[in-house]
Amino acid sequence: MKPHDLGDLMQEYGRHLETQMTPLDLDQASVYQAKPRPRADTHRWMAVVSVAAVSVVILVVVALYLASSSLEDEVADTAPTPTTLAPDVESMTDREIIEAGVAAFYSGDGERAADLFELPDRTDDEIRQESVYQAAIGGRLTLNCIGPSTPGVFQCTTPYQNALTDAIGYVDSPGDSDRFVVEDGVITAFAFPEHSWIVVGMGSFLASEGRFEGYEGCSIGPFSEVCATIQMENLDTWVEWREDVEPIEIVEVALESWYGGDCETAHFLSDSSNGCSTSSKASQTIEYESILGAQVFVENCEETARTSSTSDFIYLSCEVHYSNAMNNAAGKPPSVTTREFGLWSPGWVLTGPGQPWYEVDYPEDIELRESFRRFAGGGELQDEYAAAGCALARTPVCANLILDNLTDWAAWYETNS
Amino acid sequence: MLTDRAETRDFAEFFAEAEPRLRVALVSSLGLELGQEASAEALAFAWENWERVLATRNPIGYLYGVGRNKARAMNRRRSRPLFEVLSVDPPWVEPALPGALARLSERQRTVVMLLYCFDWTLSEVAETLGTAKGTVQLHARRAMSKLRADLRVES
Repeated sequence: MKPHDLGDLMQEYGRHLETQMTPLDLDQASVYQAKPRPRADTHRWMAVVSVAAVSVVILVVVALYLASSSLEDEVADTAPTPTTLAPDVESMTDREIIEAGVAAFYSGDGERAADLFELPDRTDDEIRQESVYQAAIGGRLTLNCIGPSTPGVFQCTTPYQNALTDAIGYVDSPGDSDRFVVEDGVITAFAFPEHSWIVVGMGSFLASEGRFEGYEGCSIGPFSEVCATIQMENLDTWVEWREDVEPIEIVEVALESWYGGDCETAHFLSDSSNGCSTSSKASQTIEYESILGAQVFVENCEETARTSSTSDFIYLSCEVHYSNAMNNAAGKPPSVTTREFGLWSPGWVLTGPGQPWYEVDYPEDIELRESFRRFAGGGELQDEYAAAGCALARTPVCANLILDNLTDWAAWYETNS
Repeated sequence: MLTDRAETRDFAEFFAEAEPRLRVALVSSLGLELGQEASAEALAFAWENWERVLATRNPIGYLYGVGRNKARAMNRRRSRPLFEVLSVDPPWVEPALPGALARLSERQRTVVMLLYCFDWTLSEVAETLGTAKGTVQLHARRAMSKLRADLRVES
């Protein structure tokens, strides 16, 4: 490309985009003309949406430009050469067995690694699977062992590097320190080091870019090949994002996904321990918010404290605007609460170290929720409300109970608020 | 409480101001197709929740957030990148520019497109994105630096 003024190029592109946009015409919005402002239910203004959808110029689109090099290319640059190991462990010392197991595991020789590791927290399949991941991600472990203090027992530090640590210039030193054990020619105690703050940070990046799908199982080992594929494909853009990301963006993404019904993303970003199974608290609460059409808006975040060790822990005080169908039915503006979020840099959104943000001072319209509790407690809903535990729980059953009685409650609220 | 007629008049006035700003901001963030749909969704939300929107300090900023929220939900059903590059652009558009913009983070792309493609002021960008002018400048500097490197232009 010949040198050119970037500002001119941008202006030309802006003019082009303007010719491709179709302004929404309020006069064409049939629902808006025909009906007064509707209440409560969502998506009543679909006519407007359809005007926009129909009028949008149909364009053939292509996917984002991905990194031009394939995963195989990346692997060739970073992964160690597969080792050829002597299969006879009987002639090996315990220390050599650990070294052989580590070499096999990180070189992608999953079969050999599965033979040498017999761990209580990893099945053979998980070892084979993660071995593929480690080879793809360029995983490298340095063993610094002292021992054996007693036969087969070693104390080792294990600095661990991979393509992600290389990309951000992180050097793991001195690394984790753990006790490793060899018994009868197999390794029975071994801790595979991970850099959780890095893989979680990658998840935050993917979520903020709307590309989280597929990364759900990649916050903690054992990792699978799909984690490596996603990490390698996004390596460069993730590195750039890390340099520029503002903490409020992570809080926004976490809350928007939570209140917007995206359980997988919300669960990942909120360090929710029990996942998105139907019965989990996170899943139930997220569905509750989704049924009620919750909307959140985060603004005016200020950093209040920061601690630094391997990674930063940042405390932010933010205003959270919250509303749902109850606000709409009651004609009440969003509730605004100022609360603190802890951000494990740049990754999980928490309240404090190890504590998910939604466990404390949950952002919602407390007055309206309390109002419905009083409404339900004094009438025919009393038993149903109590049986569902809605005074304490936020579940789909409770959300549906609210929606089913929204009009009656709104009328009650008007005179009892 | 306002009468429906007064509400309708007020909403129409708000719509006239907000629609172009929301549309351009969300197209910058999300791409042409998804951005316009998100803008329509956000304005539909505003109509349904007019009092709520009016009560916010920054209604357009609030609706920009609503639009992004709704776009993410829409996009999950489609499994596409949030910002898509058009495959057919006219010859006077630098062919590498859309791809370079797509490679920026969403916030950087939004800021730089609003400032340089659509000639918004720093204040307008900051207000719509609900952020400080200094933050907008920071994103803009970094984004322009990346674009220059990506496109190999000097100025």
